[in-house]
Amino acid sequence: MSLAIICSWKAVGPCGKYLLMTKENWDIVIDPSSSSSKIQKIKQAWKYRDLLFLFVKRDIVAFYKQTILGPIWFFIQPIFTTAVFTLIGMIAALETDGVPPAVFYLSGIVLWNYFSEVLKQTGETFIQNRSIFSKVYFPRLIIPLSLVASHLVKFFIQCLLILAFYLFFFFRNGGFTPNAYLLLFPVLVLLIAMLGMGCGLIISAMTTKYRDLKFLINFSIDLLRYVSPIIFPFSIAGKYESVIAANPMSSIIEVFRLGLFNTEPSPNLWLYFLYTCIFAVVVLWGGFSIFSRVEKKFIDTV
Amino acid sequence: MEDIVLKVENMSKQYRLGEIGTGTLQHDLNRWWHKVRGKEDPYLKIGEKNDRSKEGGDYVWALQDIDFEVKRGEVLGIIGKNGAGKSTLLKILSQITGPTTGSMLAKGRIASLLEVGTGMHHELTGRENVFLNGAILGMSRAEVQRKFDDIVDFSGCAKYIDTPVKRYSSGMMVRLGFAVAAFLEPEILIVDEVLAVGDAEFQRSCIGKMQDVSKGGRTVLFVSHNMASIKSLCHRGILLDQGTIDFDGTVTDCVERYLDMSLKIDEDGIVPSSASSINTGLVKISKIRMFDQDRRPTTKIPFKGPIVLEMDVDSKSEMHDLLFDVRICNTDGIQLVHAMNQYESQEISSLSAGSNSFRSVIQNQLQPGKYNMTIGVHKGDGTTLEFLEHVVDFDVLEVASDSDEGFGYTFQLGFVRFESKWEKI
Repeated sequence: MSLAIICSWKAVGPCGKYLLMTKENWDIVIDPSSSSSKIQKIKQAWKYRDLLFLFVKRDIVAFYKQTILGPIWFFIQPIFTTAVFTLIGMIAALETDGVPPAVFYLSGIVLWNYFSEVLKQTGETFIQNRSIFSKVYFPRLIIPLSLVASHLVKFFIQCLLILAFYLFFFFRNGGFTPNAYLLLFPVLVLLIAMLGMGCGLIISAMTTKYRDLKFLINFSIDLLRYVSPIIFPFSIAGKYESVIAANPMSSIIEVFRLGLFNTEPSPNLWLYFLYTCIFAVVVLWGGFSIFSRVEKKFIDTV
Repeated sequence: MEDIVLKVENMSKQYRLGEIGTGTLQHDLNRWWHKVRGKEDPYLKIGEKNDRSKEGGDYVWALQDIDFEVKRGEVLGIIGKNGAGKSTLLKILSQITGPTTGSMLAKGRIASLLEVGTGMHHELTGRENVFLNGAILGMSRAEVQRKFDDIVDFSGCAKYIDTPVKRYSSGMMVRLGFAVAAFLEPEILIVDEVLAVGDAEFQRSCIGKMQDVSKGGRTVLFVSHNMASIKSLCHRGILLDQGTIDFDGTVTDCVERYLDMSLKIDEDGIVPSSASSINTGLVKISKIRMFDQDRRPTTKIPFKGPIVLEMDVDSKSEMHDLLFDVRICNTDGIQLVHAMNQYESQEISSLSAGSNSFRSVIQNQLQPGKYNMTIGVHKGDGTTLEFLEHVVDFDVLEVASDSDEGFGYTFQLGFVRFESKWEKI
């Protein structure tokens, strides 16, 4: 219906002739029924790439302003978590596939943290940025993208920590070698970003009006951490392997460790990995769709 | 036909009142069920006109059937009382929220300035914030880089540009924020009352900057309560009232109509029930009578004669520490004189539950002419309880009441006369 109205609208074009105005003659068209396609959305976001970059810079710079240790603080959390896990591992005599526990846990923790932080923060996109969203328009997708990117920077810094631990134990203890699967690392990072952002977008869209879900998500993410092979190797899961693998992060962590330590992979690992890939694509697509639907009017209800 | 850059068609916006809870969930489910069956949203039919003083109803139309077009290079002023739908309209035009029905079409880039310095981060320096704020408003990095020196010059913050903005005074932050926005080059610029901040000199440079913008062939939509700046900036005005367009025409006519539109007291001094532009329901001014110094009820005040006001105020409960505020405005809506109970030593500042009456005598030094009065009751912390804009029209006569000579001139300069002494030295 809206298109009919627009088409019947005539105006003098730049060359002075009467032109039939169509949707294409207007740069911005807003009505309740229309929604620009995903491609257009991505194009719009691309126009604002400078803003994306500045948001990332802001998040990182503001994080360590007025601190003495600065970016070192990015290391503190994974180191302490690793220390606690190592202690628990010793008390409970957990297996780590013959890999030194510290580097084993750390590799899982860093990957998991990237996922859970992107998810949690993306999930609060609308609520956290309400004040800025209510004053100015820019493609809303910029905020989740900037979160993915700024946490990626943090993630890479933490990867240096993994490398340091890895080299330390490699030269001191030995007993493990990397293999070619480590080359999959960029794919793994991409998958984590897709999963974290996809789930986060869905949550952000679902919590604008009813906040109930927010509480559920926060503790389920923390619980989910224990249903993924962070504190234990995939190999000890036994018949519960498929339960653990239902968590799409599990196979990502497992493939990462396979590349790092050349451990014996589960026979079904690549099947699980395929499942994770499909899951990531579906969840990102779904998240993007629902986010696009909500972004137009969320400010009235958030 | 001329070149139209913005076109709004049949635009309406509905808001739901009250809190979000199980009630809204029920409505949402019902709405969804109608959608699944391909039926129309059942709640679009209901909803009342945007009249804040009446109670009841879950839905309200903040805007209803708005239609207008804006040509290239036009400067359009949007005026209306509090709650007329100005902010909602700006929010839709700047794509912050969507309309419930109807559409909006625009050519070129729209930049909106609903707040100065949106997204500025306290920990970042002035320089970093200029880039961040510019990007938020839609400028590219290269564009900001090119204009950076001009922006800093305009803001007058050159010395502090590498200091975190949390060390800035609030005035400096505003200047920096506006400076960034001033160098935006969108085809359509939407400005909310940002000029209300900053000192007089800065306000002048802002207005000057906006005039430059419109001379450059770009379109400006400007919302303000300040009729003087509306008149000096805009060619055309749109008057919104209760969510609909009440008037669309030249800015002079529009401002005049706006000031006439406010509901006035009737002959007996009774205040119309919907006259309040802000009312909490706790305090209500029901009657205002005006007298001259001889206690004759009149709205024609003799030159130099005091204005005597008697007000009946109903209060739901006992209240203390209140501010009674009387503003006298000229026909442009500019506030000239302010009187308030707290300025005085023998102040009255409480209301008992039920009806209260009190009298206020205001010394009048106004030049002859037409004036109107805005009356408000506020809590001590500034929260407004009752606000009647331009509710009493009155004239100051050229003649004085007693043997004093009257105004006695054929020309009038200024609005207020001050006593002055003249002597040889």
